[in-house]
Amino acid sequence: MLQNLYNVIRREIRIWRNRPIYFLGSVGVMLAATLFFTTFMKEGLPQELRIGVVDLDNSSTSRNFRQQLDATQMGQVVEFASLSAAQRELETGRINGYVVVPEHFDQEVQAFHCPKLQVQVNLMYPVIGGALAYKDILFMVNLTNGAVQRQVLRAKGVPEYEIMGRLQPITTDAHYIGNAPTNYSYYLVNMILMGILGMCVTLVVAYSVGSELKYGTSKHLLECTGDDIWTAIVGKLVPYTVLFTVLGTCLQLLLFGPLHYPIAGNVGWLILATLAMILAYEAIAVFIVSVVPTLRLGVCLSALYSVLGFSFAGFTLPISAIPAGVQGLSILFPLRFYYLIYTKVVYFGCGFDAWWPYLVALLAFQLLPFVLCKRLYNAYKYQNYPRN
Amino acid sequence: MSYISKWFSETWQIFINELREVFHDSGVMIIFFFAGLVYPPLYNWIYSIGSVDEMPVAVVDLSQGSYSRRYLQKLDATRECELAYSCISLEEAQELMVSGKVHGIVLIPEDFDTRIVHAEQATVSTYADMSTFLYYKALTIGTNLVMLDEVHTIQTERYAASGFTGQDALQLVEPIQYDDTRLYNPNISFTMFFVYMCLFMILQQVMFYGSTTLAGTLREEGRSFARQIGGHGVGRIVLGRGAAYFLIFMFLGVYGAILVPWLFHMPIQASFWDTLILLAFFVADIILFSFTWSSAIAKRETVLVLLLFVSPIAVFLTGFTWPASNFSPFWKVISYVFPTTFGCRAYMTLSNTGSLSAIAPELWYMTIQTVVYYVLASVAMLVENKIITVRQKG
Repeated sequence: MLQNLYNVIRREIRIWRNRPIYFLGSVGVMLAATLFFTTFMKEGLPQELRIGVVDLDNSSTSRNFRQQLDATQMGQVVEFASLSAAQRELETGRINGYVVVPEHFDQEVQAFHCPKLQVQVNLMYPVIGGALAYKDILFMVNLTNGAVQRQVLRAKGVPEYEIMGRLQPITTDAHYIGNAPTNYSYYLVNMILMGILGMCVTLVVAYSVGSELKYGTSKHLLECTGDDIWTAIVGKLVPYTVLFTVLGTCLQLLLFGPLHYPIAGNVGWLILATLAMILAYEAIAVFIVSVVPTLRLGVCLSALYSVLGFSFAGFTLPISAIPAGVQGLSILFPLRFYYLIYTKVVYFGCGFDAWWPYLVALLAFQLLPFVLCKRLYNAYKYQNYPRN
Repeated sequence: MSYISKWFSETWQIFINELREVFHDSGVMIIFFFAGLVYPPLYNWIYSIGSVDEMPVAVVDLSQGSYSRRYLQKLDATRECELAYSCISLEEAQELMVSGKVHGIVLIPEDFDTRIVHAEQATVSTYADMSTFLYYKALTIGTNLVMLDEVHTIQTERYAASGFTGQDALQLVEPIQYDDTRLYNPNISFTMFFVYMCLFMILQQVMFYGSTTLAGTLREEGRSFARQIGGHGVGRIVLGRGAAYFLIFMFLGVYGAILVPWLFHMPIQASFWDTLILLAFFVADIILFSFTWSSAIAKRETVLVLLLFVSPIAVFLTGFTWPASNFSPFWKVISYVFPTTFGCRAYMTLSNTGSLSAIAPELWYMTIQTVVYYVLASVAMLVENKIITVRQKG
């Protein structure tokens, strides 16, 4: 039995050596994806967003407002001579928002005639840019307001220490748990890379299990194991489990080590969750090939299934904000349970007792291959399905 | 004359032949018609709510005064937040957050009311669950709206007490006013920006994975279209095959980018014909894009295993979340490889504005891409043909 298992493992590694797809599909893909996602949003929060200003007043006050807006870390002012030019750039997403300073702005401020600034933002494309630009513009408008009020209060002789209390009676002291700088990389990168890792596991394992059928080698595989499908499957999966666990561990250590992503809990728990997620995706891949014992359909279904994981994990749009009719589908995706463990460990620093049910859920995926193992065995034994 | 009629009849044959190949390949059919028909409504459905409203928030009111009560009542009245739990300590609220019962905490300190009465600055502390940015957004917007409103109310009350009322008070409270127009997606909901991006992304990825799978199959079986050169010219093969996919993808495009959004009541301003023009540019682009890159695919299943991870990357390269102006030069160049970089942007702009002239630059970029990929696809086929001939001779 153990000897058989060892033979299958050696056989699988021999297959790896002959066909580069296994290494390219795992190590190659993860390297490329990691390179992309760790460098793409390196700033964390977009800086120097293009914000338009249409200055119809051209006074010292309006110029001052423009310069202040430009001086914020987030904003970079682009000047427009006309409203229509700014509107067109806004509609096409080339600027994130614009402010119109009306004619006689300066005079009306001085005379307390409450001039109105027009603020337009595009909150659709690009969505982060639009939201941040909006925040930046409103911040600057309120600041300018404050400056005018302060002048008035000073002129009335209100003591300096009372001015802030009068200008802004209430402030908010915001704490962002687990991601103080509101960094987009911290928020997205770990989940996306783990999603891609899950995708790789499903595809590569489905490819490996299915290609025994396509290339007609499944009979030989069963011979190696003395006609035991379990030894065959376990033997085939051991090298993948090791390979993907090494990849997953390296990834977690890279993100929380040299790249300094914040983590409140123990990274060891996260590596445990990664391992459970990898095993779950392997079970799903075996299950898919058992359902459709041909390589190409197996790989197609694995692909169609695994891309949905990103939406159903709930890290962009929470599951509670998905229509009730499709919410339940989220339990079909191991990435969902990884995410639930991830939030507990990374954001709240919880220990085992807070998230063990999710780990159990991940392990429950191991039951899947048992459902249709007979079907896979028959397909391997008799090769009675079309090869292509 | 005979050349022209020969050209047309041969192109026609290639066109028919390619359609036959597609419809006889169950793997390709699944990708084209399962993904192409099921994913657009599925993604529309998943993202049809798209925002977090009435998010449960825990409140720790240590002040217990009239100002703190008013603040909390206003917070409960916002669209974003719902006061789900009232706690006696921050620890209790933290436990609720860790267990996922609330996604935000609002702490009002003991001296809150006293400070306001003394005309000093009072502070409200908020704690946001950052596991999803929508939670953070809901808490930030909810508490900021209430803060601004309260600031306004308290200032007006104070000026009233010193004899300034009505317009006089308003002039002092808000010497500069603003009118804000939040275009297209005022609630910053996922529905809009994600679904628009997604519909065009599905078209590109489905075309790419489907046609490369077919190209891989033909190569595996030694029936690559590049073998046909000699009898037919390169142009006939590219155009004949392209026309077959054009037919299929204009159908999928009208379905995914016009019919499905209409069924889901997406606020699309664009007319049917304008969207059709955009689709024609985009579909031509994705076909030649796929032809070019499929040259590197020798086996049928490898493309999904090796290149499925490109999908999430292409999604980010459209610049639909992270603004394109903040791409590093390297990734900016890489983004020009994908038709979706321009296609998704154009579709979003067209859907928002309904004006074809607004997307003229994107149509230009897609035309340039199409021409470049046409040349590359033709060259790749010639090279493949050369290799095959050399091998056969050798």
